[in-house]
Amino acid sequence: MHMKFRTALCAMAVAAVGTTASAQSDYPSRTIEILVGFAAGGPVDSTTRAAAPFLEKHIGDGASIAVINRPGAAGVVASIAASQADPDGHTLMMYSYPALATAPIGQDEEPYNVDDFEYLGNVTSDPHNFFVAQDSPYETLDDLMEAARENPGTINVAAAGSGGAAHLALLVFEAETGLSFNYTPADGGAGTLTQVLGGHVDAGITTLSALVPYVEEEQMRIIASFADERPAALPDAPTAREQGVDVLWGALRGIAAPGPLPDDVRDRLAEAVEATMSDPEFIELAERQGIPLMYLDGEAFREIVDTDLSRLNELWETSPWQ
Amino acid sequence: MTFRSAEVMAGLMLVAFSVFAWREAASIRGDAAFFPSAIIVALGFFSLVYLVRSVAAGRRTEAVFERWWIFVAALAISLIYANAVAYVGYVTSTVVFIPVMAWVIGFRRPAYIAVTTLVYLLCVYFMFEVVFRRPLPSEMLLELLRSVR
Amino acid sequence: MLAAFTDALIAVMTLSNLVAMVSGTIAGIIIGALPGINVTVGIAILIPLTFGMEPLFALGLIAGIFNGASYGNAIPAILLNVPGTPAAVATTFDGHPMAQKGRSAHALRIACYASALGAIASAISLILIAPPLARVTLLFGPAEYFWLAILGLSSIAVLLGSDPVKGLIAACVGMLLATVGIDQMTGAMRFHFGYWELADGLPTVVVLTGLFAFSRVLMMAQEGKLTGVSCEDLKLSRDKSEGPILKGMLPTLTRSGIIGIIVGILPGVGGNAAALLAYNEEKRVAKDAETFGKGNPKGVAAAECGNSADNSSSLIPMLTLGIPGNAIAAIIMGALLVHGLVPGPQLFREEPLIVYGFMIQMLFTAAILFVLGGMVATRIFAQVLRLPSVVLVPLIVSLMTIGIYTTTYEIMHLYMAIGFGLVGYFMIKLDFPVAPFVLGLILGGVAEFNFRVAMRIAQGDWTYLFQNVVSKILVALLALIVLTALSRFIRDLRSRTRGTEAERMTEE
Repeated sequence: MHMKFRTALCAMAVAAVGTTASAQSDYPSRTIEILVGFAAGGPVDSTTRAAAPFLEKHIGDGASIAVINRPGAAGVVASIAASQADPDGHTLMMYSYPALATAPIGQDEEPYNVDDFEYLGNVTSDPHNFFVAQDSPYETLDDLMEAARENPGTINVAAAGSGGAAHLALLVFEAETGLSFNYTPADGGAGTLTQVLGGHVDAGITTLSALVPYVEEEQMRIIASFADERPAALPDAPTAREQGVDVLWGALRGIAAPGPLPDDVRDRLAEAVEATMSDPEFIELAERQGIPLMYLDGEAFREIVDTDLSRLNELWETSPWQ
Repeated sequence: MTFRSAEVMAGLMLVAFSVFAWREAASIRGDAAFFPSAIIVALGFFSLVYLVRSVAAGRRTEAVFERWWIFVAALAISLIYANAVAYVGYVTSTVVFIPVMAWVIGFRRPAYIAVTTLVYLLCVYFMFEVVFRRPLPSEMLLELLRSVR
Repeated sequence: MLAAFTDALIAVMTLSNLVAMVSGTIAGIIIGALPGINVTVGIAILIPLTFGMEPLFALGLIAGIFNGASYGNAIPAILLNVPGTPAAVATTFDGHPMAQKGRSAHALRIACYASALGAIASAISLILIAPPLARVTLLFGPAEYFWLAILGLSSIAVLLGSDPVKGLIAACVGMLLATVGIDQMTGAMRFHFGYWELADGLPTVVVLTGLFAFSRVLMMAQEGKLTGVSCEDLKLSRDKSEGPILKGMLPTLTRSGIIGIIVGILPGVGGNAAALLAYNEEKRVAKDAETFGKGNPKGVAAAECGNSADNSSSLIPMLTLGIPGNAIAAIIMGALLVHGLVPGPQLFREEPLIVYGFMIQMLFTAAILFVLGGMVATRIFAQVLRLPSVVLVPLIVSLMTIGIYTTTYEIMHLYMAIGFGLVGYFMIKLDFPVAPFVLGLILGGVAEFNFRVAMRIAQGDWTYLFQNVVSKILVALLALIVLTALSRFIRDLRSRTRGTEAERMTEE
């Protein structure tokens, strides 16, 4: 809203003086802002801050990028702000999926629409996983499912906040298997880990990057990864798919911009994202920081969104998460 | 206004706030409403005790809120400034804000204020833009100039 | 471990690493002293710049910022009654009254030394007992956190002072505001009035900055003092008549240090609470409780020692388990990851030089505070006070505005700061205590959430709350505090009635 007000003021002033603003040919004409829907320090923020200098380099022309944190409601606040900004390529957003798609579902008034954005390229993919403590009696996914079948609704599963991506992973899993677990909300990803490590709950769901060190240290075991194949970092972690449960679920992050962008600006940004993703320096940095890179072009990401959306809308009808 | 009547006013506002919050809490779904409702009941009870006590046994007659017009003016200027920072830009609004605020609350030495404002803005620019790399809100005046050119 | 430790000590002692620690500490003091800018943001912005640096150089800077800020926040708290960060709220209680009595130099010194000692104790706890302490963190499940929050809330009873009704109202309003936003249990929105910006609840830093900083600025504007503090009052040379700065404060520092360290280790409670809890405890055990809030040096020492003693200890669960307990630990974890250091038990084995080096840096930067804080920073900052307070008013408002605005670029947060400034102003004017409000705001949400999670896990079985050893210990502590508060209350009541009877007798 703030951007629009300002543009309106500028437009009025320009009209009054009787000149026309020059076309977008001189992109970038000012600092490019990347909005991040989470506070400084989290994985979305650190991914953005790691990528920003490389995006600057590949956009070229002395482009300068500022990372702006607009935390709130799992990214909704930033998405609203981005959807209302001028579509001139000077405002970008690091989206966090699936929250990007799930937030508007079931709201009386849609805060924004996934069609408000142009998707310029996916940067990371971090699958969710069902995990237990090392000393847990549940050796495999089958053990856990068997227990849930015998005592429906009594197996405690920790996952960050109600309605969040990890909770939805559990709901999707329940819908797929027809089982029911006792969902116990945790205070974020860190809370999920402590609850499982401390033996306060039976199992937990969180992202792969958070789990890798614990699995390597043999403190936790992944009993089912919701990835399409076994993660490269942990080849011993079985996927849900190979155990007969067809659930794919993970956090995707990438660059989007309010649309419609001028063609030349969109192409230039999309190329910059692609070039960043194949920049050896960036790949090395990401590896060191434990950022799980996965490039997808805008269209490929859109297809994932569309497939998931129909499934999520069905899920909302049967078991609304709010 | 005496301390006693200020307390009576505060008591009335607290009771009104409790009622308002209670009505809002009624629209919360499920067991999420339980904890807030319990707190509101306690708040309403204590507020009532406070109100009754202030009416019945308030003894303090010293004046509060002296020079209240300065308080109101400082508040209003701060609100305008908050909006101006977001919409007009930081430097422009600060150049106006510091002298106006200082003048309103009683400081009337133009040269002193001019130097202070300048030094302050230089420090802030250095800290935010250079050291912390947090962009200050952009200046509408500059943008206007740029688009006119 | 000893060999690794001495190797690390040598690595830390290089010239460049010493430069990093000193400049980090100075930067930290400045960050802490500016209202509206906090440590998390300072470090977050630093991290991308550390890509090319040696790990120990980068970590030295970070350790310096972390420890420096926990003293820096006391400077405006004492001199202006405006806490530099919310963790310094308790410092204003006695620090500013001391300054008003012309003892600002003394108060700043106490704050500096107490901060440094708290931070040193915390760093030692990190070095010596990190791994076993980390195990303790895991013993805390939802039931234990619930009791911990209740224990913290019960200390409000100590703060109620002469007028319990006002304190209870403040605590209720604080707890009610803690419920704003999405309910983590059900996903239901509470008190959001249609604003998505409120979904994550009220931003604590903004609320506390408004409540404590903006309200004081309004008071300063209203007083309209045309003169600054005179040079005499700002003399920081040691006054002989004051005697040794920390004389007789060992028990105070020990208590506050322990409270700070414990609060730091437990994820999710946070530094803002540590100082208040330490202050409450000091007031509870003090024989001269009525002098607290009127410039008792022990109040300053307790608050500052408490808010620094949670620094290093909050890194314990992060370094040993890889679980960051608060935002600062999370951001430091990010900084470690940049250098390919994955926190967790394996880190101690694989990178002992870095881990012990960083721990030593936490200790060193705390010690640097003694020198830097006392001599350099305090002298420079105190000069700001020579400006007339009517000139300081617009400067502080401007600084707060830009600090808050550039954190989230959310104009609503500015409205909130001003709104809570208004609330704080009326609370001061009408003698409402602010500490119960803050504790209610911070701990109310912790208590509610963990109670409901515990009930969900136990599926409604109440005995779950008393099942574990830690729960039992916490309940026993709770009973102890409540009973002592109650007995003191009854004693006061008796002596008061006896006093009035005595008066009546003499009148007759």
